[in-house]
Amino acid sequence: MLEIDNVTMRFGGLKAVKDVSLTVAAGDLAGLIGPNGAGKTTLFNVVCGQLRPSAGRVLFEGRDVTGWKPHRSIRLGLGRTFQITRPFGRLSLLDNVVIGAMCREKSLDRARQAALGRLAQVGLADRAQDTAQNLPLGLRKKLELARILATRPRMLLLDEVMGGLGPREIEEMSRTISQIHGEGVSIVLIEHVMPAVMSLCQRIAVINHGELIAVGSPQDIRADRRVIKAYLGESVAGDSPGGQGSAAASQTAAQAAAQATTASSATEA
Amino acid sequence: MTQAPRSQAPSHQAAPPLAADARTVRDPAAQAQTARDPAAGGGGGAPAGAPDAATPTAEGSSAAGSNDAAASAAAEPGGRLSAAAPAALGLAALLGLPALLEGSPFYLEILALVFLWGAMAGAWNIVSGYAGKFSLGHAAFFGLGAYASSILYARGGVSPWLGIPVGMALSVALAAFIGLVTLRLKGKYMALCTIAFVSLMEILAVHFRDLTGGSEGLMVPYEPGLANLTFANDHEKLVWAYVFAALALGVFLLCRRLERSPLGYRLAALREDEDAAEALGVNTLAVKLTSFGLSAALTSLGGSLYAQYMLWIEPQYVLSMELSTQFALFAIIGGVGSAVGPFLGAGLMFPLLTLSRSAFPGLPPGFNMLVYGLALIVAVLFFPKGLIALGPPLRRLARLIGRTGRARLGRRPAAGETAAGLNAAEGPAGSSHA
Ligand SMILES: Nc1ncnc2c1ncn2[C@@H]1O[C@H](COP(=O)(O)OP(=O)(O)OP(=O)(O)O)[C@@H](O)[C@H]1O
Ligand SMILES: [Mg+2]
Repeated sequence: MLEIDNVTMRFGGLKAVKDVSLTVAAGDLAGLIGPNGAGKTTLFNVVCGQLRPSAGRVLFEGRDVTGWKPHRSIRLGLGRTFQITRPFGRLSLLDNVVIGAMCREKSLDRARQAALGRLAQVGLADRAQDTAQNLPLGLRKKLELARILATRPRMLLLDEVMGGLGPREIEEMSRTISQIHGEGVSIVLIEHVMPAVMSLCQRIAVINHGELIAVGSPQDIRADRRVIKAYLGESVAGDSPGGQGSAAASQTAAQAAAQATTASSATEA
Repeated sequence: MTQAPRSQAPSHQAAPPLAADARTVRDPAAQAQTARDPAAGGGGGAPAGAPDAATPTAEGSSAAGSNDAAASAAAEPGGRLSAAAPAALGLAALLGLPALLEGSPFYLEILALVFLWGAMAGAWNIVSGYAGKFSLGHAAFFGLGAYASSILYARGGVSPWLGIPVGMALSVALAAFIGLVTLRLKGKYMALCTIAFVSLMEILAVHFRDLTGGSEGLMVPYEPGLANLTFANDHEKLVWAYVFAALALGVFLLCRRLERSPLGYRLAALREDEDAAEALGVNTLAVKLTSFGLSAALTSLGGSLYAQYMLWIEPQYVLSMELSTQFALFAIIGGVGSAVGPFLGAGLMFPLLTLSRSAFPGLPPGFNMLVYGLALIVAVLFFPKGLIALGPPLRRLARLIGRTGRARLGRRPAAGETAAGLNAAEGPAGSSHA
């Protein structure tokens, strides 16, 4: 469904994404993980057209969408959320979502109906009339999700929708994501909250310093030497024998990732 | 720079009922004349009509503003009722005030220009208020409209009725060009860049003197007749007051409509966060260009009408920074991002300026800019949302008075009444650009 074909993104001298190739099949719920600054968000930016890649192509359902403006790819059904939420601050939550819904609905009335439905779906129905700028972080993440859902995407790239949330909110968000996936939306999830990624995703891709270093099932990823190395640094990985039987190491990888979560929530706040 | 604008209202007045004389006043040499209506300093009554004219629609908030559609929808039943009175009042003012003032050409002229400048501030507001793309280049469209219709008429004998759409089309084209160059820029950079286009246009107008009359300005032939959009002396000012009132009403209704349209939502999204808007399927470039083009076309229309009204234009005014600033200022003072705000701003500021000029004839030419600057600072510091921010408290007060009145009569307000009222009282949020 989504094909990322040898994509490189250069910022001056910095290669934020290096020659990454990745495919996501229809119906996938895939994870994209990696340490801070690995290039995850940049990859999303390239896929959704916020950035034009220095090299490589992006294909969505067989169509070359490389460098398409975001408003065009969203019409094909390729949508994304922003890591740092970007609400329309002075508009109500409802109007925020209405703007998303207008992507599919010509009439404002119908867009409003659709928007109310999406707000209900993420549990914000009772705050439809509140102004978006006063919303706490957890609810802003939900709003971000409701807004993009209103565009009726067929593939959704979610950039840390759990970042900075409390345990209960994370659980709630996980449930919402499963439900969206259950409705037939293919999903790619950037997330630092490892337990959630591990339980939600069927397949996980790991990037580090802009390079794709592993793709596989959650089990594979837990055991992958390069992944552990990426999260824990050279010394620990050097000691690790690699291959199988590194249950302890995978444990530590998960913990390291959990620490990364805290770090990323700090940046968001 | 120029003296003309400041003395326009008063200078018409200088030769009151005789429009033929007024023509001569339009002679560049006479432009520096200042007003001398002794009564002028005293009365601020006349211009009050403009705010009234606009008030009806202050009711209810725009979806495109910060207020939520559902809340205003909820307020609708009550809102309709309470909006009816001001709407009627406003319409009466629009139709009645010019007639009432016919005996005093000085005030009639102020009123007419309040309508015109209100409409121009309203047009500016479409791209700079609703869409948040701050332009200080709108004099370019005003001047282009004025010159296009006037040149076609004066040099080619083409009726202004045809010249107006030609000017509007040219302005849309110019807006597309300026837009492609500047609309990518953020905030102050865009403002600075748009200024450059005004200066460029002024230089061109001064340079091509065979066509434009150069810096002495361009005289528009005086051949009264509806076909020439020129009116004979007797009721000339009154007719123009109504023409500008119609323009004002048109711009106002258009903006109201815009606020409730999908385009209005898109403009609001653009203003709030361009990248997020784009990611949600808003073609931000198209929306920007559309609003800029619409705004430019209306401004151009105003410029052409102004030229027919004055029958004389000069580049130092119709293509000036001062005019550009004035469009922005009136809208900001009244309340940016609302349909009624620009008219409130024009209704307050223009009479204030004109009357103070006529009260103190010795004021230096830079006086307008000084007042604009001070007014802008005051507005930004104390009324960041503009005069429209005064609306909700006033309405609440009115409701309170109404309620006590009813209580005294032994009636209680319906339960829904107050709830809806409070919702509606939230008021649309303007964005302040300073
Ligand atoms: N627009 C840009 N211009 C220059 N450098 C950029 C730009 N965007 C990202 N970078 C750099 O590219 C690298 C990758 O950043 P990116 O935001 O993609 O990381 P990330 O994997 O999303 O990290 P995090 O987990 O912290 O969100 C970083 O070094 C960042 O500083
Ligand atoms: Mg990121």
